[in-house]
Amino acid sequence: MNEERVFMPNPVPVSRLLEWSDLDLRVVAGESGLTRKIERPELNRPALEMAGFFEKWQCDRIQILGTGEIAYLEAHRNDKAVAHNIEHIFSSPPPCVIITGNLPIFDEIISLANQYGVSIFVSSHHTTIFTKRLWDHLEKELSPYVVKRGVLMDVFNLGVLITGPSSIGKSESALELMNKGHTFVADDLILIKGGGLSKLTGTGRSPVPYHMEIRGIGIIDVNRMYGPRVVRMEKQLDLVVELEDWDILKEYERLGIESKTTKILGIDLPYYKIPVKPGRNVSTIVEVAVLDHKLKESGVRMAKEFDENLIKAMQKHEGR
Amino acid sequence: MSNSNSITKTFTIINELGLHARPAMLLVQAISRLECSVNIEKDGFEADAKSIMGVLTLAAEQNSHIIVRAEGPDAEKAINAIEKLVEEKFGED
Repeated sequence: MNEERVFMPNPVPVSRLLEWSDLDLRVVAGESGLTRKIERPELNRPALEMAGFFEKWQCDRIQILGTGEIAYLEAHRNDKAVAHNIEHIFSSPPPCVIITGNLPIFDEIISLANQYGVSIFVSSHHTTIFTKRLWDHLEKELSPYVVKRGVLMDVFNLGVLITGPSSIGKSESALELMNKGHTFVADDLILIKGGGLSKLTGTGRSPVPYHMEIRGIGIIDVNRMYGPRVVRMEKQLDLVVELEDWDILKEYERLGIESKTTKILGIDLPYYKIPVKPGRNVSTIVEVAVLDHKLKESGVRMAKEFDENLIKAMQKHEGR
Repeated sequence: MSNSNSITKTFTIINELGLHARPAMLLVQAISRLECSVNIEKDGFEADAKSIMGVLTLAAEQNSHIIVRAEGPDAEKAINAIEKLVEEKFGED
């Protein structure tokens, strides 16, 4: 496959947090900070910094104040050193500060937020559930991504990226797969996001989704033609199938004892290279590749088991 | 920019409707039989200029810039063909 060009997404403005209704956020101070940018998905609970330990301070992270931090602030309300540390936090400045669990906020903090233009939000959710939801949003928005050419399909619930040179029949095999009830995600430029975790998500890049070109017919709207049952906006990517012109001089996988992988965004994905020639039913082979991968995932190694059984059978014969 | 047979050139799309279906088709047809690979880049995304959906997916609107990179014996022909189409506004307006 081509060398990988990794794109970094644009930073997210702090005001975007208010659009994510599941976070249940309201601004209580520092409204001028809503235009600040969030560049990293990571979060920080600044308890150590409040206590004066700034050695690992990363001011580009959203700061989350939960029960512990608020209790600490309350207990040290008249402590000059702590007040100094809090000012250090706000003057850095972080993208924003979020208080969870509807906890109370002191006037001193409000005035620091206004002075340094750092928005303070309050959420009704408790810290654990809040940080999980916020992380999900930020990870999605701020993950690096790559663009691959191919067709992205959901086959037996697994996301399959079908790649290969132009006019090898990627779109046609996608049509066949839809006829068999599988789901179409996107054709041609596929945007693949990594999430820092071991998961990749693929989606179309076209501003007008669910279209593909079929030679001899033209551009078709898959959603209209096959209905919403067989389309979806995005899909976790599970394996890559590369189609190529059958080259008689080349040796293809014959046994399937070894599993091959290809790397996308540093993550190893199962990889099948399928030679194509006229009359070969590519969609069925894609289905079989997915089923083979599913069986391998659940510990079944068909080729290896066959080989073991064959060896056993031969050993029985030896005794005769 | 050009070495032996790799040419890169930036174009500004000037026709009012941008690189929509018909212009994309003309572009793909103009170069699809040439002996070279042609990529079009817009906003960091790169499409195969021989793929209609690829070119359309770029959604290159009026006044946007596209970077065309042709590689192979016919690279110059491909660049010239695209230049002509862009300058002639794909026969539109």
